[in-house]
Amino acid sequence: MRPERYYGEMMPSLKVKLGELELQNPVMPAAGTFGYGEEYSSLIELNRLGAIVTKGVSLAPQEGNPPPRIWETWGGMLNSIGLHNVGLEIFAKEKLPFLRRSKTPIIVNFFGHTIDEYAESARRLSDLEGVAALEANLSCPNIKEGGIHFGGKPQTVAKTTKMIRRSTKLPIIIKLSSNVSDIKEVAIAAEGEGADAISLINSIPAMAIDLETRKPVLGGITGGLSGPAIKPIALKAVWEVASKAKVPLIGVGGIMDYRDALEFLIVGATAVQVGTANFINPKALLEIIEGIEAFLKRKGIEDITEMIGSLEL
Amino acid sequence: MAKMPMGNPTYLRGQIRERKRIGSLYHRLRISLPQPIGPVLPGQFAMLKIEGGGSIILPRPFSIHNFEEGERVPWLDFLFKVVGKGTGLLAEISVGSPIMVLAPLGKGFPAPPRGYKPLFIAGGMGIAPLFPLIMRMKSSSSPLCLLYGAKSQGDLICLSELLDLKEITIKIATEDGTAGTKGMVTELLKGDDDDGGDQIVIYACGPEPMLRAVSKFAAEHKKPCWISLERRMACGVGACLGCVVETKRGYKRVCREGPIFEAREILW
Ligand SMILES: Cc1cc2nc3c(=O)[nH]c(=O)nc-3n(C[C@H](O)[C@H](O)[C@H](O)COP(=O)(O)OP(=O)(O)OC[C@H]3O[C@@H](n4cnc5c(N)ncnc54)[C@H](O)[C@@H]3O)c2cc1C
Ligand SMILES: Cc1cc2nc3c(=O)[nH]c(=O)nc-3n(C[C@H](O)[C@H](O)[C@H](O)COP(=O)(O)O)c2cc1C
Ligand code: FES
Repeated sequence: MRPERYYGEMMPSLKVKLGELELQNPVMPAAGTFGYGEEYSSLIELNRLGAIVTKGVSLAPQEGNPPPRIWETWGGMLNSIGLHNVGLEIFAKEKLPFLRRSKTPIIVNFFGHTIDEYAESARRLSDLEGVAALEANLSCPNIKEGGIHFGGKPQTVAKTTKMIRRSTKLPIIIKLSSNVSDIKEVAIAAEGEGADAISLINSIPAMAIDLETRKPVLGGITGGLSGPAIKPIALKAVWEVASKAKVPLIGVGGIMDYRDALEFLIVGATAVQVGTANFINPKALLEIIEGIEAFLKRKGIEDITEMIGSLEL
Repeated sequence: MAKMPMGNPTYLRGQIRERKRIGSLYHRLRISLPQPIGPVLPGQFAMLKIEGGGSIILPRPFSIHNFEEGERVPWLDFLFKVVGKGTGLLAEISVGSPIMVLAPLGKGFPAPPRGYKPLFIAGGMGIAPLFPLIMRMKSSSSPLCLLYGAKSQGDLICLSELLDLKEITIKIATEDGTAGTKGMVTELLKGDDDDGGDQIVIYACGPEPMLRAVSKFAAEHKKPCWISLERRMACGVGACLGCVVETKRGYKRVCREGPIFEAREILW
């Protein structure tokens, strides 16, 4: 049959753009699940990824929460890592040189405890060679506002984004939590102040209890739920925001295989991040890229951008 | 500090070759690999992906219990105890089933310093990573000694294989007194103390209270001591920071800086 042979030889384009940032494909690891790239480098060819997203860094090193830090739940997992990280200086000195060896764009995920810290981190990260874009994790508690996370209120999101925008020329991605009353408003606030892209969603606040001891199972008492269990929530968040925002969106949450990834594109994401799936299958990122490519070939779709926002209502 | 050996992990679809029940709660699995990995070091572990639908999504860490020494390792043996959902399912797995294996992971036990005699201390399942270390060291000239403790006689897994080795002296303690001395394995240490002025290096694995007691003994008697620790894990490769233990130099990842640690580094 002629069409099939034709499809078989076609090499679909997987290229997407996040503002200025061009990616060879839309698939990247989610912050905090891929370390600083090196950890998975013997298992996965980093050059084949759309981008590499680092573990969240902060100005000063952070010890994180006391263990236990992980717990498995039905279809997902809780983590209370507590943003444990080596700090910006060691990141620049010890982690970034390795990442620079790969030709894949490096997106540095970062956070702060005050708006000034976000701005200062953005400024200092922009000075580092080899950083392609910044992703601000706004799910961190704001110590000046009683610990409500920065992504909680549109005004705070606007203010934080504005200050980050002033501190860097790099593309900025604002990463949001679904733990808000209206995610569209929050996303629009980020877009209005110069975000180049928006990632949604972060892990969802959650907890688990040990019946025998009546204690929380996590050292941090509460944690974040991630994995397949949160995919429907993330899909809806992307779909809602896509109806209002013009900037490209990055879908995150429960993506396990290429089907999940493409569903995010259909509801309006331009790219996807894969987190918990890396733990379950260290080759997940590659299998997703290959799966997407095979799907496009099978369907005779020449350009992946045709998938974006193609939801049939 | 002694050099901590480690190698690069591989992710492979293995196949269950053998599954043997040992007593009521213990099992031995042999997993053959589609292509050899290696080298593997005693003390290293693997993440095994147990199929359990939505109820089990994360792979589980298990010490590599036995393997053929060499650059190319074609199969791995595991020894495990049924303690929950995942190990329960693993106990039912049929021979011939595929299983995803990520190995070898973590650091192995370092070799004893020159002139030091190894003393192995195992508590129950803790024999799993010590077994290949004993196998490796049995050909060295120094005499070996194992202190092996468990709840009861039935929990002394691998004992018959170990008793077959003429190179090793074994002292046993059980909590219920069904084999060896009645009491904790750490109590056997007291007797070992006046074994002449030999330089010893301790290798221990077992429940955490036992490891704490062994560490205390090692500190008091100024003996070098290596222990194998266990933590819940997600990635197994150092990426998620989920498996940390508190040490004198901050939180360290059990899957990466461990699972073998120098006992005096740990803040108990
Ligand atoms: C480096 C390392 C090596 C190990 N080697 C062995 C081995 O050789 N043989 C063996 O039988 N077990 C070993 N373990 C422990 C083994 O991983 C757990 O028993 C297993 O993950 C439990 O899975 P489950 O689904 O049956 O239990 P779950 O249903 O998840 O939990 C049941 C119980 O197991 C405990 N548990 C769960 N995960 C772990 C874990 N990662 N470490 C310790 N306890 C845990 C829980 O606290 C709980 O009490 C090792 C653990 C580590 C970290
Ligand atoms: C262990 C772990 C650590 C994480 N660390 C970060 C982090 O440092 N910064 C961040 O923005 N998100 C972090 N996340 C959230 C993930 O990036 C992602 O948004 C979330 O896990 C949902 O995706 P998933 O279901 O594919 O895992 C972390 C998640 C996990 C499981
Ligand atoms: S299990 Fe992920 S860092 Fe150790």
